[in-house]
Amino acid sequence: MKSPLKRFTWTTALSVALFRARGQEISLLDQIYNPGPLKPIDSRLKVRVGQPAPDFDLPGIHRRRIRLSEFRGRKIVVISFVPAAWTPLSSAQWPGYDLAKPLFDKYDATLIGVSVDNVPTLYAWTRAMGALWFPAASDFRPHGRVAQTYGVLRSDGTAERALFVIDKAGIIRYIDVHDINKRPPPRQRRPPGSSLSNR
Amino acid sequence: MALLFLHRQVRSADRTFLNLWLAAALGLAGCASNEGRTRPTPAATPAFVVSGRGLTFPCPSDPVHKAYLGLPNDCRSFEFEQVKADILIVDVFDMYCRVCQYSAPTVNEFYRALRQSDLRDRVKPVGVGLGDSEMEVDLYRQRFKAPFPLLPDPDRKAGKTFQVSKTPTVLVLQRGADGQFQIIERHLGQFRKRHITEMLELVRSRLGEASKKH
Repeated sequence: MKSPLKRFTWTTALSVALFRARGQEISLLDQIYNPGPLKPIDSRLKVRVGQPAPDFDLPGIHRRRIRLSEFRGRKIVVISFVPAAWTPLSSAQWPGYDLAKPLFDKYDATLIGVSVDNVPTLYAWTRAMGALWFPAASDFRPHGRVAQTYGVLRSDGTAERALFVIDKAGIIRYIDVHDINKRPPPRQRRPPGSSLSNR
Repeated sequence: MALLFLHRQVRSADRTFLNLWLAAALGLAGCASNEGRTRPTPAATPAFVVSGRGLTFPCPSDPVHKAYLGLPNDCRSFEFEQVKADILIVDVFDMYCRVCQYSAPTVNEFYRALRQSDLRDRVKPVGVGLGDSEMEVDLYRQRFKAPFPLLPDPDRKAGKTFQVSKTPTVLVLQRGADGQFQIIERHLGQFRKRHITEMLELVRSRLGEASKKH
C-alpha cells in the first residue's frame, strides 16, 4: 500500500512531466522585441473629425493595391494604424478584428490595416498571426507617407496605434490615437460620430 | 454599464459608428495579455496556490448552462464554489489572442470527451475571457460555438485572483476538503489534441487521489 507521501510525489512528478512537455512550443510571435516603455504619443494629428479623409493608394500583401476611395459610397471604413510589424501589442490587435467580422458586416463596414513595413515583412507578420479577412496595406515607400498625412507618424518612423472611422461619404467621423504602450480602458472612451476625438 | 448608457444616449445615426468604435476600440483591449503566449510553461504548480473565494461571475443566461453548472434558474451571479463539480477546468482566453482562437476547437473537443466519459458530472470546463466584455465573449462564442459557459472578466478580476496574465492558460481547480476550489495545475500556451489525453489522465489521477484520501 502506498503511503500518502509516495502518492503525492508520484502525482507531482506526473504533473511536472506532463506540463513541462507542453511548454516547449514557442511561436514566432513569442520572439517579439520589447523596446520598453515608449513616449505615449509622438506625433501631431493633421486631420480632424468632420473633414474628408485623405485618400491613399498603397500596395497590399495580396499583390493588390488598396485605395481608400474605392470604398466611398459603398462601405464605412475603419483604418487601423499599428506601430509596425513584430511590435508588442500589435500582434494581438488585428486577430481580434478578424473575429469581429460579423460586426463589421452587420454595419456594412470594412477595415483596412496600415503598417509602415514593406510588403514582405507585413506578409510574414500577418501570416504568423493567421489569415485576416481585411486587407493589410504597406505604407513603406515613401516611408510612412499616409501616416504622415494623417499625422500619426512618430519620430522614430513607426506609426501611432490609431483608429479612424470614415463614413460612406468619405468623411472622418471618429479618431482615436492611443498611448502606444497600453490599452485604454473602454469605459473612458467617447462616442464616435460626434465632434469628439481623443486628440 | 457606462458603455450601455453611452449607447443609449447616442442618436441612432451615430449608433453605427459607436458599434464600430466599440469593436475597434475594444480590439485594443485584449492585446496586452498575448505577448509571449506560448512561452515555456513554468514548472507545474502542485502547490495549492489560491482559491477563487469572493470572485463572482454573472450567471449564464442560457438555462442549459445554468443546469450544467448546477445553478438555480433565477441566479444572477455565482462563485465557482457553487458549481456542482469536483474539478473545474478553466480555459482562460482572450478574444484578441490568435493562439486562443487556435485552441478553441480543441478545448471544445476536450469538453465533449469529458461529457461522454464517466467524469461528466465531476469535471466541468468553463471559459473565462480575460479582459473581455460580454460582447467580446459573445463574438468568441459565436465564432467557435463553445458548448460550455464562457464568462466575461472585463476587469481581469479572475486573472488577478488566479494570477493569470497570459493567454491561453488552462487552469485545473480541484475542490478541497474545505469545499473551496484550489489551483492544482496550470497550462500556458496552445491547447493541442495530445493535451486532451494528458489532461484526462491528470484529472483521473487527482480524483483517484482524492477518493483514496476520503
